[in-house]
Amino acid sequence: MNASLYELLALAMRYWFAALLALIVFLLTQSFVREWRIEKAVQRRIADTAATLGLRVLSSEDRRVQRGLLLPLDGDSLLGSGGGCDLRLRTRALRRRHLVLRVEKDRVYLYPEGGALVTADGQRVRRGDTLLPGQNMQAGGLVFRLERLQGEEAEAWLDD
Amino acid sequence: MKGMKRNIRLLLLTVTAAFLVLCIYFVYAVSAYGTRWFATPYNTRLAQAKGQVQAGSIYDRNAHLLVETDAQGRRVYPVSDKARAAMAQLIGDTSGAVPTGAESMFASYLLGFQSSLKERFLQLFSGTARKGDGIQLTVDIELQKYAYDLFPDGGRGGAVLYNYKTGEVYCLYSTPGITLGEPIDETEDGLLLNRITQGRYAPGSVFKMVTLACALENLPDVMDRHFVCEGHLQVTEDMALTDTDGEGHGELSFREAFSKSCNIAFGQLALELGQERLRRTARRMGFDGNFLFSDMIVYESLFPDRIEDDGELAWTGVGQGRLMANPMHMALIAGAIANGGQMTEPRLLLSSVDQDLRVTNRLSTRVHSRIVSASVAATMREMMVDVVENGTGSAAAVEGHRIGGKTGTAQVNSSGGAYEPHSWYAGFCDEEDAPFAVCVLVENGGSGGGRAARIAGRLMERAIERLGTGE
Amino acid sequence: MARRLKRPSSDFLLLFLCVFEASIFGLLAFRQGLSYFPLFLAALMPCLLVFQALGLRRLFPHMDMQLLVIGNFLCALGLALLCRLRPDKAPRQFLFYLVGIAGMLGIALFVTKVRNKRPFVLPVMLLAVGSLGLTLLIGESTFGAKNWIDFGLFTLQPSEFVKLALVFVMALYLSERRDLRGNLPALLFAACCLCLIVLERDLGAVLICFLTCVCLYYAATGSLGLCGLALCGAALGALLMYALFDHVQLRVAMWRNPWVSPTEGGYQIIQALVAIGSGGMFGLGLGLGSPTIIPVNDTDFIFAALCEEMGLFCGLLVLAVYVLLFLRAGLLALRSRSAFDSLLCVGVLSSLAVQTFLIVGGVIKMIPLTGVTLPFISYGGSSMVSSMLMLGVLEGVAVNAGKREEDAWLRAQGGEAEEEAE
Repeated sequence: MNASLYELLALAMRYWFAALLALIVFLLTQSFVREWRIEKAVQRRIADTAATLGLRVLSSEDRRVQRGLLLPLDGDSLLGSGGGCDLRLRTRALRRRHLVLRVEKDRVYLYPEGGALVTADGQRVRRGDTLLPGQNMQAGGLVFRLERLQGEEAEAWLDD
Repeated sequence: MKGMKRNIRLLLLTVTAAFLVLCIYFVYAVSAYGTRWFATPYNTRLAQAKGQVQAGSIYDRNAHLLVETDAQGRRVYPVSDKARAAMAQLIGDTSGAVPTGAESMFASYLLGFQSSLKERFLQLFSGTARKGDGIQLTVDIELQKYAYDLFPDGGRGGAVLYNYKTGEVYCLYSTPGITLGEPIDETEDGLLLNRITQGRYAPGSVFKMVTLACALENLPDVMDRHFVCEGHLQVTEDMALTDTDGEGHGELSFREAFSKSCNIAFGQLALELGQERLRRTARRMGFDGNFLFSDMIVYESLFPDRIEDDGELAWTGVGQGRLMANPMHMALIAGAIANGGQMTEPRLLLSSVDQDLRVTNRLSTRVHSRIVSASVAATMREMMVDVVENGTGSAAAVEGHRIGGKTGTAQVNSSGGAYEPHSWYAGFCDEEDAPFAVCVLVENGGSGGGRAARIAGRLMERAIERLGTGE
Repeated sequence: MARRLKRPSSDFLLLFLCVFEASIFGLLAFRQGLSYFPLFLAALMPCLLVFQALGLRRLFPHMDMQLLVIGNFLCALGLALLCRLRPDKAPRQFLFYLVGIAGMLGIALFVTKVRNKRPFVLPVMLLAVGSLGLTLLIGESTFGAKNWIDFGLFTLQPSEFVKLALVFVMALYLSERRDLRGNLPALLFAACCLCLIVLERDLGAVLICFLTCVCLYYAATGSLGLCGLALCGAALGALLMYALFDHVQLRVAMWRNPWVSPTEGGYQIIQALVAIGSGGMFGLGLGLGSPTIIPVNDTDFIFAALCEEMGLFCGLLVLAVYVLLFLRAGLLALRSRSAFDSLLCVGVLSSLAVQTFLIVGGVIKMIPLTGVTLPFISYGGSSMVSSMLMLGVLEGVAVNAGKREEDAWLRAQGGEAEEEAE
């Protein structure tokens, strides 16, 4: 291709690239705005259903875990003292991986990890047992109560 | 935690704001300075383009051909010698040594950077060499030649005449200048300068326009005041104000003080007004500003940052001291006063002309700023007409027309010894059919009412004849 | 609503990006006769894009497609400009791009699959400090900054990777404790890195790392007081550097008025401005301008070259793309359910935003010039790879967040969960 033909092509394609770029930016912005809206809807939905329940610490053997500490529950959360737990409490009162809590709309299903001691209202808990709001649960050296959460508390982070 | 989300949102806002500022600055900088960056002599693209593109022709407002590129690629000037000398600084050289010449300022048109895709297409297929676009200046070459005639031989300075309603510059003459078509004489000083747009001189009494505006705005009953001038006023222990005559004008009304250009009266007014108010008015009228005109680079006039004592203040009020004025700016001020207080942006490019000699890009009039209110402007107009009819500016009068202006005789003190003062005149024609403003500066030309006013008067007369729309 | 959570389709975006890549490399292939490399890229880049989009979608079902598009777009633009400016360097940059993609995947895997990231903190800190120390010992210098090591086959600029390390370490610490005392190890690490970089005299990197740390700290704790204090300290530090280093003084003088020394100190910035001014709205045309006159046109001043040949309009659009990248990262930070993920996003966002702002601001003479590169676009192995790694971090977080949202959404639907608890 000779130089002048290239020159003409390059000159014409200035507008082509400008148009393409504008289109790409437009589409990116559009999808960004749409995703923002979807996120808000999803978060609202999730906030409605998840994290309306939380575990409140009633008593603890270990002073490092304070009474009244609130753990919001969302989805499947692993409770324990080790790293990698969704609900992590650094205390010897819990095993490294102690128990998994699965949150449904208005109740929690408990799945104790192998060998861990978990009782609900005094009764030994087996895999898949239910915990209702208002009930007490003991895991290791800590006693919790399942509570319904209001507004602000529901928005907390998992790793806290 | 909700707190963290709030913090993140704030952070996002800051980042977006920062980039918004970046984009806005980007757009502003490129639109205000883009052509200047392009036209600088350090732009090697221009030099490259000159080798590859046949530079376009330059015409005056009546389509007379001023400059063109011949078949061998040289720049030629098919005009008389007088015209060539008259338009030298206006056109400038092709390598950017005169940075304010038309060749440099409008290089993007002349070297084809603005030609449309269709034109390039046609050029390619007809096999002709690449040609830049032609440009048509607002200047009238006849008027330019006449300015050359009026200027004394060997004089230095210049003259500018423009239309204060549309901004079109009809005459922009500066001397001494380069010789078009010949290599530039490196030894001579100041050849590369356009004295009208880049010059800075002590203004002398033309500055009284600013003092007058300040007085009219800040002293409510100044129109009824009377002054007594004895030719000498001791302001401080070691500084005294004198009048050029030395004799004193006696008793003067305010109007007479302006038309006779009495230093004593205006020195007193300056002392009354104080440097703050004077500076504020000067700045509003364009001093210390940055004119970002698209067609020309006009250096700003300077008002001293801090005036030390009353003596200096008094002298500043009459246009001496550390003041520096740019002749184009003075013309703009005179034009603005005639235009009801609105300063119009001066334009040099009337239109650009494509290969088929079809006109594209017609100029548009733009108002730059308002420097005084309409009522103050009206009063100033009256008083400036008085200067020409009854005062120091009588040499600038044109029979049958309403002319106003202000003369200036700027004292120049050099360590080498006393020089003749600069001769200044800035004025206008206050008529609908001939809305023209003019400024003439003759370096070391003696009194303003002499040389400068005379040149201005004749130039204005010729301009009204040729370009006025009446009769 | 359908069973799965529907995300808006990015197919059109991918299509247009493919078209863009094919056309820009196709054009450049014919610039001077027939160049094979751009032609090769014209065919290969779209394939790579499709491969990433389809293939990665299988691996990471919740991958953020828009981020991928933005990253690939900027890299492609950079490659194209490089083909035009320095065709000899283009193949190397392409190699770095491939390495970058691999790195992006690796990091995304790390962020999503590795549950416990604590054990990695100490090695990362040691590696960062070690590499900086190594640079001080055996490094080479360019433009007054001793910031890269020559390994024969390739060169490495550790400060680019230290940015990421800093983000990782600080995010981890800050996600667990919010008080000053608890974060001391992280802050000491940061201070150590900053000092080493200052000793390298790479002042741009110092600024980026410092501001990133401040942003992270602010996001985590919200203590305007401490952050304000840090910024004041930075201002004092800047003044100190101005007083001590003469090349800083030169930079500031050239920012204020470069026209006084147009052939020496001010040459770089003047040529950049001239190039931008010459471009006009739509540019002079790819291959038709003279961006090769601009000094360091492939790294620092690549934005000026872009504006010269593709115009002001494209320059603004590219800036818009960057802003969209930052906004998406911010959106991810707000979406993610774990503090660590969120802070990772904030860190990446701050680092990239500060870097982009510094270099674009410097090129258009809004702020004094700092020697940093434009992420994704500038030539430079370390720069490209570290930017892609940061993109990988974002993608990893996106996958995490997407997974959790999907689970929660499905549970909200009353349907069965897709995954068992781990």
